[in-house]
Amino acid sequence: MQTKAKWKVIVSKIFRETVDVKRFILSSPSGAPLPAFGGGSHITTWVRDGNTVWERQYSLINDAAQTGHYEIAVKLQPSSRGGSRFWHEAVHEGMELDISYPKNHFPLSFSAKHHLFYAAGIGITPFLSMMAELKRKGGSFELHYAARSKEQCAFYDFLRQQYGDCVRFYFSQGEQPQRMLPDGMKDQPVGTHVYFCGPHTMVAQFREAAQSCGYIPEKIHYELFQAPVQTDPQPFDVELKKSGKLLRVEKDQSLLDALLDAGVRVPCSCRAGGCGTCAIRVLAGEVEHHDACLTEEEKRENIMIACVSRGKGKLLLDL
Amino acid sequence: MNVRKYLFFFDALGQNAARSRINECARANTAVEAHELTDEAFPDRSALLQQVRKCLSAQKIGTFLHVYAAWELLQPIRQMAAEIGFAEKEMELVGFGEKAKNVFCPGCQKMSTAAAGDAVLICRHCGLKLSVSSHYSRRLDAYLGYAVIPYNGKESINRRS
Repeated sequence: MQTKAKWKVIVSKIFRETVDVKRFILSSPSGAPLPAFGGGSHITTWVRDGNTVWERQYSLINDAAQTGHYEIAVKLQPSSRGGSRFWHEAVHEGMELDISYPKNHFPLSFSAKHHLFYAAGIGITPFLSMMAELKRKGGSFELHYAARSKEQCAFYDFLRQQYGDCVRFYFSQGEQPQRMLPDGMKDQPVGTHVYFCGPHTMVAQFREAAQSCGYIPEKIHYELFQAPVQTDPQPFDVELKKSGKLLRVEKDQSLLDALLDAGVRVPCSCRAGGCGTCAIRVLAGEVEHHDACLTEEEKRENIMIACVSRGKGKLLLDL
Repeated sequence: MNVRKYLFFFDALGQNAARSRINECARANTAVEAHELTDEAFPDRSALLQQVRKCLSAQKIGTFLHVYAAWELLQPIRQMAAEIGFAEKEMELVGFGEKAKNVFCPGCQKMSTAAAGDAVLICRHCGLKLSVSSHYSRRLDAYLGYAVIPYNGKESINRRS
């Protein structure tokens, strides 16, 4: 797998979708087709901002049958560490950037007979390419999509027009506020698979509800687009057994960032505790787990996810 | 898995085992639905399978399927259940009696059937002599046949099955 390879593209067009979501069309400078991808795939983007390079993952939102370009949608995060702010304020048409090959941690199930999607906010993005693929192939699906209001609901008109009755919207603000609830998962045919994308709390709530309705783990799929919010994180120290390095992880820093800053090459991808790429073996010390990907057994075997989990006191890592 | 309903199909061969399993499930305080597939009720095999398909298609998520039946009935039901979307972890399949094996011919790529215990058979499509290997395909529900090729007047036959 060529996970390290980078691909040069240019921003050929920018559209404003809502007050805080912009859509970017990325094309190869030569006009040659870009690598093929499946619904639910994402790319890593690297944009240069002076001496800083912002590395961020975004879902591909266009139909995979369109091979000439990629489309991504970026939401301006109020707590932006810089990435989404730079994309919104400084990225312009004609700008060149590096992207990775498409990767897919959130593929459509081949065995599902009906796909049931639940999106909250910008969590809509992976479903856009999935639905395009299903529509093209004649697959059965429905989307439930929660946003604050119609105005803040990215791709509202597009979804209505493309998919009509297969989409239900829930707006939490306005005259008749509606909450998106997991209840609709219960009365579904046995061949149904459920997919969730949104903040941690939403994904956790829907996963739990799906399990209690009788979905087996193989029929539950989810992607997190945001690391869980940690209340009052504490700084901690780590010792790397193989290199002998000692590092301090500050309270507003993740273990992954501390390792990368120290020049320790740790593979990583989602940075939200969802994919498991940055798993590290802990040789000593107590871990506070915040991920959504390790099994209980893996946790007992002292594996930790560097992008979200933290140490209580000092950790000795197998690095 | 959080089972909301146990769904049983059983025939004359599987009924004793099925009934004791049904009793166990009934104690779990979960809905149990059981269907007896007898020759008296369904003299026609295709009508029987149609009925089973109709029932399987109507099932909601959280249904766990139990089939206790002769292999020849179990296999088409298993196939249907998979087509409808039951995962392997949502089924308990218990076969009874003689189990014929589907054997895939590497020559003409078509399917033949080996009676229980037969290590060698003749492909009914192209006539190639095949030995039944242990190489099983879940997708095809079939074992790969190895062509039996005479060498120095002797035949080497794969005895594993």
